[in-house]
Amino acid sequence: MYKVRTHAASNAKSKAILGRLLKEADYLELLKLEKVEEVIEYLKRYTHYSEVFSDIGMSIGDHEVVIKKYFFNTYEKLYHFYMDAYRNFFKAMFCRYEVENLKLFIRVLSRNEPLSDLRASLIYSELYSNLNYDQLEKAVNMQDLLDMIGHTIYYEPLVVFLEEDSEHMIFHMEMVLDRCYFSQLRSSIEALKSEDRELMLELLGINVDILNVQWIYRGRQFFDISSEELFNFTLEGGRRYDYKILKELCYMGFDAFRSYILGGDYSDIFQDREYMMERAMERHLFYRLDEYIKSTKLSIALPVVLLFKFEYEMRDLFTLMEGKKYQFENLKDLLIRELGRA
Amino acid sequence: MAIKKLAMANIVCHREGLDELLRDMILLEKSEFIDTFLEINEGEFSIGISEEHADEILDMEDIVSLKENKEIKQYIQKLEVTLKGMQYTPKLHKNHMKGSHHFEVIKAEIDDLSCKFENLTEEVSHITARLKSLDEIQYIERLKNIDVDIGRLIKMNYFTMKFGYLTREKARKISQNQENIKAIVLHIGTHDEKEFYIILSPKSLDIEIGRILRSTNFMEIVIDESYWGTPKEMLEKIDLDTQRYKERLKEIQETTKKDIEAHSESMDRLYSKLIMERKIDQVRVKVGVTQSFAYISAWIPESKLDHYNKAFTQHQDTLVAYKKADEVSVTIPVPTRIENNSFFRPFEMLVNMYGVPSHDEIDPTVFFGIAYMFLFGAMFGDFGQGFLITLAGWFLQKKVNPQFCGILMRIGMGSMIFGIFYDSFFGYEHVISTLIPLNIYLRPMDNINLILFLAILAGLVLVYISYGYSVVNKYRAGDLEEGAFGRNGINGIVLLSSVLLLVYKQVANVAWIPIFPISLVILLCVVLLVIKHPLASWIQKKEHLYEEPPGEYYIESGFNLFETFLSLLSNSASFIRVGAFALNHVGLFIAFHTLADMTGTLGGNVIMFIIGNVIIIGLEGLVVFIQGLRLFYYELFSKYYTGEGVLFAPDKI
Repeated sequence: MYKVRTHAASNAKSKAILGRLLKEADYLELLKLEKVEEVIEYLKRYTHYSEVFSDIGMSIGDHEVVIKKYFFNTYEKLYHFYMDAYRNFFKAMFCRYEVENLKLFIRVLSRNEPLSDLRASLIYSELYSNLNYDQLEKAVNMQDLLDMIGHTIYYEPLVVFLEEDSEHMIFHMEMVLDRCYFSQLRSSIEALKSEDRELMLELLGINVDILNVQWIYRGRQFFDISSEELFNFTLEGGRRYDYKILKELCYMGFDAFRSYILGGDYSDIFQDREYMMERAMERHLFYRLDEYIKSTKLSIALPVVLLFKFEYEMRDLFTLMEGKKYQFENLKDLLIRELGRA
Repeated sequence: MAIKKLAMANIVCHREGLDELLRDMILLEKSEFIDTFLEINEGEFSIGISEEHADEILDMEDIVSLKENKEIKQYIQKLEVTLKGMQYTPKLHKNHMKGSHHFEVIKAEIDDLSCKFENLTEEVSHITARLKSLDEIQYIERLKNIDVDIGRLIKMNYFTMKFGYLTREKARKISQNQENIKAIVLHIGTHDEKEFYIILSPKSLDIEIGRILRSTNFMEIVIDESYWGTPKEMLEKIDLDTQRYKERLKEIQETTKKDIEAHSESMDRLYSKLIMERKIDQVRVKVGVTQSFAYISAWIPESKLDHYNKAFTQHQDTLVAYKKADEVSVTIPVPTRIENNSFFRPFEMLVNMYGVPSHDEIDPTVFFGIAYMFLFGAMFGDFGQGFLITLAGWFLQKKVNPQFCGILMRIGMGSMIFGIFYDSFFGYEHVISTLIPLNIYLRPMDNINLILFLAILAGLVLVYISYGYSVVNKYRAGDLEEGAFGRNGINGIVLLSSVLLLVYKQVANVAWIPIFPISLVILLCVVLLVIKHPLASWIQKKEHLYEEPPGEYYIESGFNLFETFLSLLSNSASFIRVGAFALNHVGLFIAFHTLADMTGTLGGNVIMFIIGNVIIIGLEGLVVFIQGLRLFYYELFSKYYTGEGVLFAPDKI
């Protein structure tokens, strides 16, 4: 009974929106177009974005803003279907955007570049953010940035790394931010009803696995982090890799590590070029999502899958628009989805 | 009438006198300021045009708005921090707010005050911090059986020793990987989800171990050199110091207490002034200013204009022009100022819960108040229980929401009055009639059909009154379509009356009511209902008869017609519940009475009597309370009351 009460409305809504998302044919059409204006025109004429694009005087940047707003409106709509623990879960999911944005800030600051140009590329909801982006973009160095987030949960774990040399600092700070997000998300998932809890823990587990692999890889390849440290940073609750395997992975030689992963569930992460690893991870997750819609009825899975898919669609569209603007070749390879995949 | 008229005051004063003028207006507590630019941009801000006002008018070209003074918030915070350090809660006094004061002076006084108490507050926070850190090293207790000087361990040349704690999750991580960590990790205890550890490692590995510890979020506790010694000695020192600090804290509190007594008035004064300053600042951002003048727009009750005029005369060269609410631009919403006498005021809460009346609507509070008391009383008529509800409202009014308690007292009285007529005292019938032997009693259970019939009759009276309200409201809003031909307008009244006459004829078999003319009237009403929109447009000579395709309009009005008849029936029948609850009330008590009889003992009787009454008052009282509201919101308010107004909220402290 609780399932109907809790999920019926949100699942119906999610299904409706899911059905409206762009299809492969749309992407193929979009790739054929030459200019950004044509992309926008296509979206306006043939897709669900027609609802939010107005006709007059909008620049490309405006369209990106509108798409982001549209995405977060959908987020908030789903949020309002839920109560108590489920709302907290959605709130915890919102944290991901904060964490991603903070990571971006940290990377940019470490390159001594100004934060003010970043605003357009941030994805965030004004409604449920603990960060004041107006203020944050004024930060000129790491100390500034940390002072500005002093009131948030991110401050304490970050501040201990302030004294480190810049390369290690980035690695550590990014890792700690991911930890923050995952531990919040995990505790919010623990409070859900049993079936939803299982589902979300599984999805979280895949995410944790992928992230651990990525951290170990980056730590070894680029940052020369000691195995002990790496192991301490790994996240718990992975689906495939428990602490014993993780420990082995942390102490393995680099080649052995690579071939171990290539022989397992997450082999596709390493199949692509090195700098495309993050995209490859997202692609892996993207194609796992469908399994969750098929296997469950009336659960939290559908709204969550929708949000992921919608976000990936939005990011693919931004890639497309950006790519058209700068006349990139092989735009197809930069998308999260893999066109022509069986 | 309960909705009082408001006037828009457009005020021009010298800029240097602005703060004082605003303060006086805020202290009068009857004006709501609006953004002056709303009016200026519409070209609506009025100053009497004459030669002597030329400066004020010419100046308006360079008008700008004032910015919020962020310093005020900072100083309020500063003062609050200081006062909190002294554990003093300031009180607001209006007297302190009067008279001239400047923010700069207040600032200086606050700086003075916080400087004076800074040493004290600093010492307090220092001591609390020390006490906290002493508390943290209490875990040394676990080592008390070890007879080694901790200082010597910390000072070792080739080894580093650290004290600190980890979260449980991280502690697990360390133990999962213990074979690879080149340090001795000694668990010494658990406290508050924290796992306390001693870490011992060779000095040559300091950097590596440092990194590893950081990756586990290890929080090191540094032990002050002065405490070094064997754990036993350390504990003694810690205990001694804790005691000392606590005593000092007490001492400080006593001295501040005396200081506070001496300074309480000046602190209250400072706080009151600052709060006033904040309010003025909140209003100031709505004001437009030029180099030398300030322009203010505010809603003021028409009845209080004299008060304000008197206040304005105290400010030299202040120009004031008043406009009536209907002369103000339609883009500026007119707030609604409701003023009812103290008897009906509590019911405003329930009316506002549905919606605030618009400024040109009739305030339904009085009608609501009387009818709600009537409905509640009729459904929950019992002298004793009503008395208890009244009593509860009276006792709780100072502690709980006073408006709600006001409602309790009044509906309790309604219940008492009906209780007398129903001859019911805590459920027992015939008690009242024995004491006052009159022929006025109508016991529900003895007159079931009559009670149900009366309920519908009372409902019809209420419905008719609602129709009256509706017609007046529609007339005021100039809505001919709904007012004359709509289902809640005159047409609706005629239709309901005709249908009722027909029903009466059928039920009572009365010969003198002619069927044919009445049927004709009903037919006419139906036709009017269907064509109300084009008809009203035609009478008012509008350009288009329809606002949508005629086909759509007629399909819609066809369904509307269906709904109209349905709601005629359901609206009236809905009131039968008033009678049903009156019966139910008695029925419920009979059930408890029977239970009491079954126990057969005096004790059982008394207990059943108490339980029964508690349940009836608590549960049935709540149900009846909600049912009364439901009847009003759905059957009556939906007819005539839109409730789309905005409440008049005067700017005051």
